[in-house]
Amino acid sequence: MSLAALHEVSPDELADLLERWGDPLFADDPVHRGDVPHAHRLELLRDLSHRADASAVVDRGATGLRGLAIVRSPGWDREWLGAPVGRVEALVSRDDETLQALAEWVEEWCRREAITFCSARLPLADPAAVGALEAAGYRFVEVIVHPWYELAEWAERESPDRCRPLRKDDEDAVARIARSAFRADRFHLDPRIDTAVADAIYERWARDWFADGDAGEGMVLEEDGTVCGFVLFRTAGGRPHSLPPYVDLQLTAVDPAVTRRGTAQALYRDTFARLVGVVDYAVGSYSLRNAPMRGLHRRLGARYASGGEVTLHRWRT
Amino acid sequence: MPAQTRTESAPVDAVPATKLEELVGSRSRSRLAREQPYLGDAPKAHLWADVRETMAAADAESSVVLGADAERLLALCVVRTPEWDREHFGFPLGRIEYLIAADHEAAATAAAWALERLALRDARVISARLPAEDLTAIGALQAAGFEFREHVLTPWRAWSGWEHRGFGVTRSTEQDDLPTLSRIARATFRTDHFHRDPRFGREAADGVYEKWIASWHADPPPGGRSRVTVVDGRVSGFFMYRFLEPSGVPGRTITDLVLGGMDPAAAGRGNGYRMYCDVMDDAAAHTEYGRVTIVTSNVPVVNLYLKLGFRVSTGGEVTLHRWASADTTEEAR
Repeated sequence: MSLAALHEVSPDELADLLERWGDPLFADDPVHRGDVPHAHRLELLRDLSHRADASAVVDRGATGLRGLAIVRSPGWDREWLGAPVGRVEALVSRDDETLQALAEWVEEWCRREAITFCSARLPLADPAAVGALEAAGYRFVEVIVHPWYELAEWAERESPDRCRPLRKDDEDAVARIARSAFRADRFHLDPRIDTAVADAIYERWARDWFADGDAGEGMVLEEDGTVCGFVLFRTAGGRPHSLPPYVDLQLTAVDPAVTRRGTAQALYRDTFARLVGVVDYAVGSYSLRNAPMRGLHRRLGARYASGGEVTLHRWRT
Repeated sequence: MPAQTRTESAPVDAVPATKLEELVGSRSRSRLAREQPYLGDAPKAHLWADVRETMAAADAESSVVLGADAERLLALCVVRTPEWDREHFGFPLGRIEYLIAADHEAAATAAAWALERLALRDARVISARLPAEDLTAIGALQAAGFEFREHVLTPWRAWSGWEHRGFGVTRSTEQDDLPTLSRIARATFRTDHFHRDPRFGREAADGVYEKWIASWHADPPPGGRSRVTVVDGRVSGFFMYRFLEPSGVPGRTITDLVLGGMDPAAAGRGNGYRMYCDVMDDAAAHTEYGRVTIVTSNVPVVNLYLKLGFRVSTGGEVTLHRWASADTTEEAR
């Protein structure tokens, strides 16, 4: 195997790899379609390659790229676990031999970085990559799907008009809801992660959103003067691959005390109404274990993006 | 006499049915206990009936319980080596039909029992389909060398509120159509766990569907129907489905949408949608509910069913495979 760093690889080589492999993730949806095949995936990989905490390797053969692996050890993750945490962000391979070599590279990286807990999110339609990590002790946790909406379809629909844009002074309320609302996610499902730690991950995530002035926007719904639900979203799309403008629905939560009152649906409908004419699409993601999100997206008439992903966890103790 | 260990195995008939039912009712995450079409006056009646039928269809050596002497059972495991699979693949395939366990230790012991039992029957590969929410059972099988192959969704809908579409683009399948159905199946089905496992080989994976189509039409199951759609004078799609009454839920009627395929050359122009609507019209006229199993990564079909008003009300199921010749247990690692 001839290894090279990802930044030495041209965008065309990466595109060729994804095309030859038949990368299934976000391949065929209007929302992810740019001026080159696999435009969205290419942008995700490009973003990852620029992150300071990422390590990447590619296998370059005589006929072009044969595979790539990208791993990260974000300081953010290390803080909540108190030990080095790893993420396998991509494991793409055109053949078994390359896949094996890349999986071994991931293992070696984990050893070198003394990674205690490593997660991976891989395309559902790539059981070979999943299997390579299973052989190293990774275990199934959840399946992630990606609902999307064409906002032009919402232009004529009536919105409940119950929500308002997120304000800076909503931070404590949003953080409180984030701490208590999530129960079906991969952190809460992993018995080796304490519930309080899992709760704190979401609170921290919400507070970081406010601390980062460029994080994005949001909508909240108030009842009796108290914020009881929120949706946080970020605008994306455009350059360099001419992806249509869309919003990425990043985090949605409703106060457990007020569920089943249409809060989440009102948040989404008001958000869509506000974004009609601003962006073309809205895209989300959720774990199929999350029953309220399953119901919400069904009621709103979501379509699903190609692919879907499987999340794996591995503990090294 | 050695002391009884916590997870010692015993035949199923060694324990009272009530104890077994309590384990199934309290520990199983099966969709059969949570999806509306299977729920009757007693919410878990169909699941329990299905477990009993599965055990009855197998021999006494195919089911085991753990913790028979304890106040509560710890695990139930049911395995099978279907003759249909042996005929097609030329070697025995094992299936873990049920693995219901109270904790990881019990699940691991049940998994080890299943491997041993199926090894005695020379099963070259074992498959298991488990609720995606059951991380205990899935983790135990992965630790025993099973590998993830696919995730499936099981959408369903009630036919109340279905508006008859009346496209009339299908007719009953005829014997002469079968070669075309096989050709369409060969061109269509790519995302299932047989095609996703390279050790089966493409021919064998394709052959599963050809054999399925042939055997369905040679000896249709009770309530079984088959229709084709004709586009530009050619048979371009087919649908096999079945009206059934789920055991344990008296009076309930469901259409099981078993297998549908559309020639890729005719797809994308509304032909598939009209064919599906014809089938739904028929199903809605005869049953209360429709249900289907779809590989989650087959997104066009998932989206089509959602458009037809189907809903997904569980986290789906995971299919795992383990080949006997690969020594990939955690102990070996």
